[in-house]
Amino acid sequence: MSRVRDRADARDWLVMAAACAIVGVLLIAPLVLVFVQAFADGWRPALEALREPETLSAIRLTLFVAVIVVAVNSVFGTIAAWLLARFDFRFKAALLTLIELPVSISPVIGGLVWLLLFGAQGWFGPWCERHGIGLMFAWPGIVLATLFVTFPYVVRTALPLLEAQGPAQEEAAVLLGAGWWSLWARVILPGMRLALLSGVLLTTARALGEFGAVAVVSGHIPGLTNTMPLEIETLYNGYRSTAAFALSATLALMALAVIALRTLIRRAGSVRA
Amino acid sequence: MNLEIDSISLDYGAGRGLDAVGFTVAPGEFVALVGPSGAGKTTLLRIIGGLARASAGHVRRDGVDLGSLPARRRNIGFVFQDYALFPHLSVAGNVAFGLKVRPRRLRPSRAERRARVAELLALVQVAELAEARPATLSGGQSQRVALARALATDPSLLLLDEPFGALDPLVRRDIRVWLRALQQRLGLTTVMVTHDRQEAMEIADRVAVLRGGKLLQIDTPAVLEAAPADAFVMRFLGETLEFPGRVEAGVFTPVSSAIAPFAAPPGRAGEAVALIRPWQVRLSPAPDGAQIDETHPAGAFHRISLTLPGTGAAFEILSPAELPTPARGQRMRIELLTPRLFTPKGEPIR
Repeated sequence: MSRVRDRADARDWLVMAAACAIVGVLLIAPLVLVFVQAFADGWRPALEALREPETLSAIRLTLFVAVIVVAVNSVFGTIAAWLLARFDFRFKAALLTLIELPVSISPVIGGLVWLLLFGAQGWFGPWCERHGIGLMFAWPGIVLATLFVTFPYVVRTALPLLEAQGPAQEEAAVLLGAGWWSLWARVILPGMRLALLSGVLLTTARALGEFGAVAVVSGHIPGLTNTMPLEIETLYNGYRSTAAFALSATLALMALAVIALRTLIRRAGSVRA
Repeated sequence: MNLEIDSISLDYGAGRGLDAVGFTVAPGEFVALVGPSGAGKTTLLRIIGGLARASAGHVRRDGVDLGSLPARRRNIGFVFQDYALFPHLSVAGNVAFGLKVRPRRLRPSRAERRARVAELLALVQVAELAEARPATLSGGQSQRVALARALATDPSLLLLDEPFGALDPLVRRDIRVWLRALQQRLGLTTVMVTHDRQEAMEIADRVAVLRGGKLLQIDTPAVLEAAPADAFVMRFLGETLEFPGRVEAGVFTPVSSAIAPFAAPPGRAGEAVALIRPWQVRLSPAPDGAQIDETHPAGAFHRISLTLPGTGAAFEILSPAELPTPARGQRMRIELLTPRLFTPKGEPIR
């Protein structure tokens, strides 16, 4: 960092104070308030609320969906990023834009698309119904909606790294006799592991908290198809604010843990580099 | 190992690519590919290595066509321009890579691998770096490690893509001399790509000059100097002075009277241009000669700036330092010692 002046003057302090105020009001205060509200009546009611079967079911469903989504999107996101980085083909730019679509488009639309395809009145809905495949208002629908929303994260963290690295390492490995499997296991994946982990954790955080897309396809059945964010809404709308905030605090903690892990990994990476 | 490049062509479109390039490399020979950027030299190297596919032609090793052999089965050592070391592996891990990825029944044991790595690192003189990470190495060290890695599988052919490009000039010369000695000792058939003509002339047994995807000439540095295939080769391979004139009745007469006429091949007449290296001239005092503007010591030479009378063309020559330097303002006639004559289109007149 270059220093223009040796000492901060009054204007610098003003700017710093403003920055702190914005961060405090917009980022820290809401988070603190969630925890304050959760424990407003003491520890016991909050913990009791978390042990209700419908709340536990919501936590289980959220973790279950997150595991599937992270696994699927990590594998396909990695492969997609590698293909996009290493090969030139027609409509590549269009495809890149398309991959970013879930980030820019409202998640509600992402949910509605699945409903349009597989809902009772949807294109494939009647066929699914006849064959006893229940996608909508069940966990497969929630998984599909979350997959759509979180697809860009692994691709968008892995792609710039692969592009910056270039293909030389992979070519060197091939010339040294590496087969397809060795190439991935010994060169490509180790080379991108930090970016990959970062993308996976981002996907995890996003999958845990997804509301809009899931809300459309879930059906809001407490104890069955309510994920944590949906259950929080249900609880809050039922005037059960302690339970709602206790679950919110739990969700926030999970997300914070994921983001903290990501920061640690990035720091470890930058120290080594 | 004998390498035969048999009229390799590649159409990239837009004038890039390769146009029926062909030559052979004898066992143990060191061939350098030179040319301006876009000449196709790296593309040719990648085709030999199997990283790119030619649209026509063949690459043969000891008479066997490599075309159907994928890159990973060619057992060719390749050193990349920026070394392409694996950053997540130690130096030893990098060098052992080619042994480790072999199919199980061909894979040396851990002890054998370790011994081979130690042997190779000693060969490239960086034994103490076995446990280091590539990110901590200097350019010269990375280069040696990349070479050790390429040699680990006992390749029959070594390909080097701008191997000295990323080194600073002081290290460059040392590594060049060392690499040449190593190549000679191992008897490795080697093809190197470089844009540095001087480097190519100093290290290679033969130099191939490419331009626009065409092979202009391949020969020993001495022949390339003495008998360049065209004016471009002559210009590309070193600093060049050019003096236009006419060939008539077996004599080349320069346009400028300050340049001495000399004998030309008989039977040719018309416009011509004499090309010469700046040190292949001799000066002698003459009242209608070129005017000395400035003189500077330059190693074993004096760099002398002159202006031709009439045209006012200015140029520099190199005169051996042990000869007396002419004084500024003096007028000198210029004798071209070993001129090479070309037509205005650049074709040689011999």
